Amino acid sequence: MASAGSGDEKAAAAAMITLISSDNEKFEVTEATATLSQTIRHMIEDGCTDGGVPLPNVTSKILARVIEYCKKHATAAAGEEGSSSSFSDAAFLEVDRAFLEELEEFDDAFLEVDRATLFDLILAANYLDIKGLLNLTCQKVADSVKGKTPEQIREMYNIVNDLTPEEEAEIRRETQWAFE
Amino acid sequence: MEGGRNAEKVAAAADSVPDDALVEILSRVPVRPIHRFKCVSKHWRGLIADPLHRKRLPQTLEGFFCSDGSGAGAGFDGRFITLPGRSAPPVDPSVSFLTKLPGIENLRLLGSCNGLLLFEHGSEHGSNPDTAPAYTVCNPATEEWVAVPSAGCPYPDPQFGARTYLIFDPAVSPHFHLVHVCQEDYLGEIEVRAYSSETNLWRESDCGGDWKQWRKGDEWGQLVHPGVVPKSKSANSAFVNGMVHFIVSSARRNVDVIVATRRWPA
Repeated sequence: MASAGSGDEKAAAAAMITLISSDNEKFEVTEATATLSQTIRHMIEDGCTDGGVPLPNVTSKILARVIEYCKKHATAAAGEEGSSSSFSDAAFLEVDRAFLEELEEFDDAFLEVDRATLFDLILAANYLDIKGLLNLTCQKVADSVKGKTPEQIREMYNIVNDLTPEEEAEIRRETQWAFE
Repeated sequence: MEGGRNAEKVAAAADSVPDDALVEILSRVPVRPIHRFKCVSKHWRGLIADPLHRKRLPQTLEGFFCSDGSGAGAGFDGRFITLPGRSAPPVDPSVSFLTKLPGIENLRLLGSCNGLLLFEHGSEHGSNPDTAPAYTVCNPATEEWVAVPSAGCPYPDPQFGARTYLIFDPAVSPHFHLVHVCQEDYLGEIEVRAYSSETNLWRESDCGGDWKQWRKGDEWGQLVHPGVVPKSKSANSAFVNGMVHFIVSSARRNVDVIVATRRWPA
């Protein structure tokens, strides 16, 4: 157990992780922020984060957004102060209502991106295994498609309909209730 | 021009979404659009129909099938109750695909399990013990059905506890099972038979002592001795953790006990 004061600062300084984007940009983040990603958490546990963590699937533009999300949510998990006991239940319970509301506002604002960015965020959240971010971004897409017809979906996402007219007619017959 | 290029970029992004992420998105879409989206493309149809994904995709409650237990007339003794705020039921509420079949009368809903319905029905020669009661198991969503012959229980008098339970867990097996429990007379010998849609055969209890073993609390007990009677009709049963649970009444001790079959299929 580290004592209060300078000991904590040292521990925090020691727990910085460097993330390297596909375009070779380096991002220094705290371990508490980085471990919102299960993928990075496992790398830290395996002790293979020295010299930085290369993320060849994530551009600097997207990684910056992902880190923005993780910082905010790591703070939420830790209460007001980012301490090393960030995931204890007691600390979590101290998070007050106003802070949760602020977090919701942050999430809403965070999702104000174009569709391509949203998909890139989903890919990053999937690759980095960040449950909260994956849930947030996937729900946003789900909400945007649920009222659409198959034709509109194809148009939105430029998907080629490779079903034969007979196959499509059969699906429509089987699931007629879903079209009413 | 700019818009065109943006559209291409979006398309590229959507195309490169791995199936796993696409299923993550689809699992957050309500059930009706999910079924509509089978029409988007072969790939989407495959993803949505894949049994591996089915448990992750939404399975919302649309309503209930219920039976009034009367076995009334030529039709079906029950109905479908749609939840408030829902439009047309997602299935044929009168199961007309069954009732219009020749030779099916007095369709009685005995139970359901993971999307399948179990019906008991008489035939045109209703009183003939060789032909009645037989069963029909159907999937009301696809309107597929399978006829199951009578269990051939030697004690066909329905006055005494003849109960039939449906077992179906698509995560374990594509086949369903029926368990038939019948009793010679009140508090009499209990006979247990099991049917598998894989073999299309009823097997008697001597195919293994397990058929007659039931769990009482934490112990496995034998239900072979007289002195208990299965309670009420089959509706009072539940398939949980691979075991059918139902209520028997112990006449000696004058208490009702919930018993469970061994994990099924064995």
